[in-house]
Amino acid sequence: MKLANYWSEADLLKGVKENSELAIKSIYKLHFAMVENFIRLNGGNSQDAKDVFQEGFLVLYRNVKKDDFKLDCKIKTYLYSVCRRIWLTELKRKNKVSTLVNELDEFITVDDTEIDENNEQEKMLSHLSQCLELLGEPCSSLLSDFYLNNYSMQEIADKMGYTNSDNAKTQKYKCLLRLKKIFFKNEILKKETIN
Amino acid sequence: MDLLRLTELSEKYFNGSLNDIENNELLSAISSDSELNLQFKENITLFKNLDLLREKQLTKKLFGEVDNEKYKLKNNSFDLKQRIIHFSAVAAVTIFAVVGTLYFSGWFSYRSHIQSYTRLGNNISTLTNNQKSLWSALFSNDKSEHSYTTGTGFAISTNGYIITSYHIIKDFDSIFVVNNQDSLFRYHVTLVYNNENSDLAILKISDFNFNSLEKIPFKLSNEKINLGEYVYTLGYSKQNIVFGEGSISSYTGFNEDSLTIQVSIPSNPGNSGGPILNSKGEIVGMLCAKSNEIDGATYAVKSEYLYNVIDSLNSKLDNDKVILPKYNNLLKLDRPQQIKKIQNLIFRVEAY
Repeated sequence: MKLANYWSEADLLKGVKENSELAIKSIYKLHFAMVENFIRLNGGNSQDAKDVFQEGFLVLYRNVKKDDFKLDCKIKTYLYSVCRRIWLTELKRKNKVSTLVNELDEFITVDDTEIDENNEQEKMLSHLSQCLELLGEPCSSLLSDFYLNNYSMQEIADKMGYTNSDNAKTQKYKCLLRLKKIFFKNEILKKETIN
Repeated sequence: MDLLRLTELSEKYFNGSLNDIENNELLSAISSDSELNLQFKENITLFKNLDLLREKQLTKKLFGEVDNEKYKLKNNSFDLKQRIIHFSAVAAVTIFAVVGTLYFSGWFSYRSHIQSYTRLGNNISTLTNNQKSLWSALFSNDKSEHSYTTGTGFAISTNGYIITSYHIIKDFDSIFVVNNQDSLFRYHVTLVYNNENSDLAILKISDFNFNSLEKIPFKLSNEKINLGEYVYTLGYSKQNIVFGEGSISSYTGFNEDSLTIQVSIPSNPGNSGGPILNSKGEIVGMLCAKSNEIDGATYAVKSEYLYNVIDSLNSKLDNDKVILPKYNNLLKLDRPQQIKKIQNLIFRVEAY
């Protein structure tokens, strides 16, 4: 097993890109403490820190997957900058703007659009998970198991009592169609109500 | 092409696992039919979002696992300890057996009692008292100078009920209360309630000269005790009344006894049975003992418990019940004035 300290930056990024659990855990172990310190020094608690770090890490995670993404600073600096930005936005939203921000590290400027995009994405995802719940059984478990929990079709067929994996597959596509319907329909409804 | 097939092909397209034939099938379908094209685009968006949701949940799960690992790491030393306990079970049983034997034979209790706890009755420990009375009974008629104790007690109702510490009067049959603040009086009292464990006794003035006491200005506190609250006591650690002050230093008393509280009032023999009053002039407890080991630790029975005892006593009495004062008349007075008002209701308890 690789020890957290022995990952090189490039290894870590590659690991994250390939969804390596060890790499993701290492990043958390290595860099969470700093973000936690920053947030505690600036009016947050450790639960806030966890939420912010997770959000910040997802920004990195999603960017790493993009082919044109190139990180031109340390992972630490990048995560710190993103989390810092997220936390400052959060403080502003709560009208708790502290003029004095306690900085712990150098940081790069983070594009606000990136954060906004990320927020949009988050909204979309919570909409999706709501839709998944709305589907009801068996579709809800079937889709969650396959797409979110990485079960194989055979395992799902065994678990849910389908005679073979092909049956389960057909069922899965049917469920997907239903999910698609409410996913896009609800979104349109939402937009209309906003306008 | 039906929608199920389209969904299947879209998924393969998204995963990059389309073969050439399927690729052609998909392309021709979506280029010829704009409705299918829209459906295809929606499919891809949905897959993307599902993928992102999976990443999010994975991240959350992994971070949670790391937190748990940290937690386990902290508890590792505990596991090790447990293991040692398991493997040395035989040794442990032996030790328990030995200790148990010693405990039940009273080896420990004798020592611990003496080293850490003194009740504050004046002059005498029970032991010397017993010895002396034995001696005097056996050999001579002259009374030992120590064959009595004094302590403090305070009135809780105008018809003559007085609360004090049981250990003061425990070994004596003739009890008097004395007050010489404004005018000297000395009444004979009888014991109406006692409890050795909580060290509480309730006396009633039984003298035929006695009519009633003056109005009682303080009341028993029924509020929650606050740590650090200012408190004071009045007691007869000498012939005249003595004031002592401090604060509530713990919610529990000796050995975590929850009937008592710990206060930081310096106490001396004779203080036993004195009231502990807070700055409002409410009684929060009755002083009963102090620690020999901890400096400045004095223990007092909680007023809450006094309430309970008086309640149960009242249910047994047919007439002449204990009528507790309902109002606190000391609230707005400063301390010297509070004391002036209450000093007549605090007695020296003498037991012979």
